[in-house]
Amino acid sequence: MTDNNELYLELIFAAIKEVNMQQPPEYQLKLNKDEFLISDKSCIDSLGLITLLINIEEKISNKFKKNLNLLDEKYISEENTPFKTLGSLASWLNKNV
Amino acid sequence: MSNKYHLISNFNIDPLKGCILNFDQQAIVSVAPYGQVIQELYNSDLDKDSQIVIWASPKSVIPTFSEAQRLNKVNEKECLEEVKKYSEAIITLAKKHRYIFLASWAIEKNIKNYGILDWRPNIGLANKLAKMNIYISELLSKYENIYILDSQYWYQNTENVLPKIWYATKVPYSSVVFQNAAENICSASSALNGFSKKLIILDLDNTLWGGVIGDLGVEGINLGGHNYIGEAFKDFQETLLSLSNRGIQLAIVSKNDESVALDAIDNHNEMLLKRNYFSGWRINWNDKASNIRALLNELNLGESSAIFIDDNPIERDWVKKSMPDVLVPDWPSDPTQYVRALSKLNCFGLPSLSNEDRNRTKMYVADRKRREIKESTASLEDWLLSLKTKAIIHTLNKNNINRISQLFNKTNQLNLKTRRLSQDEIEKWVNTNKKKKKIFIIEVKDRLGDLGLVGIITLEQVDSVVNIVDLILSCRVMGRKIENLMIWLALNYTKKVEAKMLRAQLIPSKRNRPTHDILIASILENTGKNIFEVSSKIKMEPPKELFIENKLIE
Repeated sequence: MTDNNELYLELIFAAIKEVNMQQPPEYQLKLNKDEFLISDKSCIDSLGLITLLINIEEKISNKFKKNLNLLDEKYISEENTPFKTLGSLASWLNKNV
Repeated sequence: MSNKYHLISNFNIDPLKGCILNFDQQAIVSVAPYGQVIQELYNSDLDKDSQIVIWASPKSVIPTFSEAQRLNKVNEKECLEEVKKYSEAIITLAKKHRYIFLASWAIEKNIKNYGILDWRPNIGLANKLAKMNIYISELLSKYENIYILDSQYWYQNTENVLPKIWYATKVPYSSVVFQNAAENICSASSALNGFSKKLIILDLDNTLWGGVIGDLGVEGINLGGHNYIGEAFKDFQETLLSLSNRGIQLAIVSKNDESVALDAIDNHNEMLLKRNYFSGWRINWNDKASNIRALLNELNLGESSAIFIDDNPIERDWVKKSMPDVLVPDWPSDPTQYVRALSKLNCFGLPSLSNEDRNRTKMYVADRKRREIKESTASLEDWLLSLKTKAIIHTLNKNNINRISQLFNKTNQLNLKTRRLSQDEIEKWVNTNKKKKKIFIIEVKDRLGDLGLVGIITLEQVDSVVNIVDLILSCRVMGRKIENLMIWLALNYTKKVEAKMLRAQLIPSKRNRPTHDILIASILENTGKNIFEVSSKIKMEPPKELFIENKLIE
């Protein structure tokens, strides 16, 4: 399970690298599993977040032939989001892909 | 001072803001409200110091083209009439801002076009759009603060944005496109503010040709011929030659025996960059940083004007550490990547192109010959006299304003205040309170060639004092007594208008220390706080080493 988490984390990091190219320095996510994603402590803005989640969907689709909708309200509303940190997003992907 | 940019677009252009801030972290970037292109062009409340970037799809600003994109038949004249109206809005905005960067229109990759008929006149969208681009570039061409950036380069070899991103965010392009655009915009801004690179310093072995000349001899090096590596070296030389033709200087710093290396440069059949393309060289066994320092000193250029290209990472590292202001790019080990690496540098922006730029290589080669004469002449005076230098004094006119604006915006070392002025701003300055102002423009020729328009001095009388407002001199005539001539002209004018004092206030910049040294060596006295003065009663003769021709129409 942990190994797969690492695999999804790598995939998330690859997507972050692409999105960071177009993010102002203060809105760029660090490549760290504890980095906040959907949280009031997160540094990413909404455009960056949406772009990142769509990029991750695309990578999942290319790699695992599985279509996800990570923009679904139930995942991205801050209160009960499973995407609070990059690590929790990787775990969620590990369970649901 | 931070660069300010204001971005106007019909789509979500926030990613461009991010990319610009990644290139220039000090920049201040604002974004116009989404989709309000025309409204924003007429917005009179925009920050006047901002450089405006307009990147709008053709269908968003030219309604007839929008019709054409639905594949309806449209009247082409009507389409061009709308282009004209759009250009008028841009011109209105340009009158209030220093620089406008307009992205050229590009056709989107789309099923909604005429396929193989797309370039047919009166039918195809590609044909129509090409006409629109040419027409708007002609309409805007006389406004020297409007620059059309070729957006085709931004889209080349990039992937389409994911459709879901477009529908969810209204961002139509991938990050790479925005990054290319930001690179282009920042490079244009940097060029307009006088920060383009002026000199490429090149290693020889495995940089300009394949192999080590000392081991292989002229016939043994790999250049041109019928193998792909040799062709890549030759192509790299051809690219450098093109840069030289538009005013970028070339020089050599190489660890070699000079006679052996010059023999290859002069006599190898495939060598494109012959000796006369180089402003100078240091070919010896000394360390490269010391050689670069000596070369820059000889060419009167600052470290930040130069790029050093060498295939050897150890040499690059040494120069990088010793001279942090010299740009030392990481260089690919594969020669087939050299041309691409050079074009990726994006630091040779050209805000305008004057005859001086086109002839720069010739001028610098003549300079090298001047230095050679200097070395063989006993005294500085003898050397200057032997050059038979002629200084021609002009006033501002339509023929020289392009070059004058270029000198204002490119000169760093010999520049009293580093005022950056566009052509309009120069004319406005000269024509406001005109009777109290004077501008002298200096052209220099000598027996070895024409050095072109190289100096500007602007003066303004305030009560009993004549202030030197600008003192700008191209570094290639530094030490040729032109600076003395300029002070003499200023003093003469002070006497003529019966003012009591000639004054210059230096505004120090990171790079204009040589101006301070010139003022210290002149008849002006340093009164402290960078203010230099001299009484108009002081007698001064024009430099005897110069033949002066006055073309001023009084």
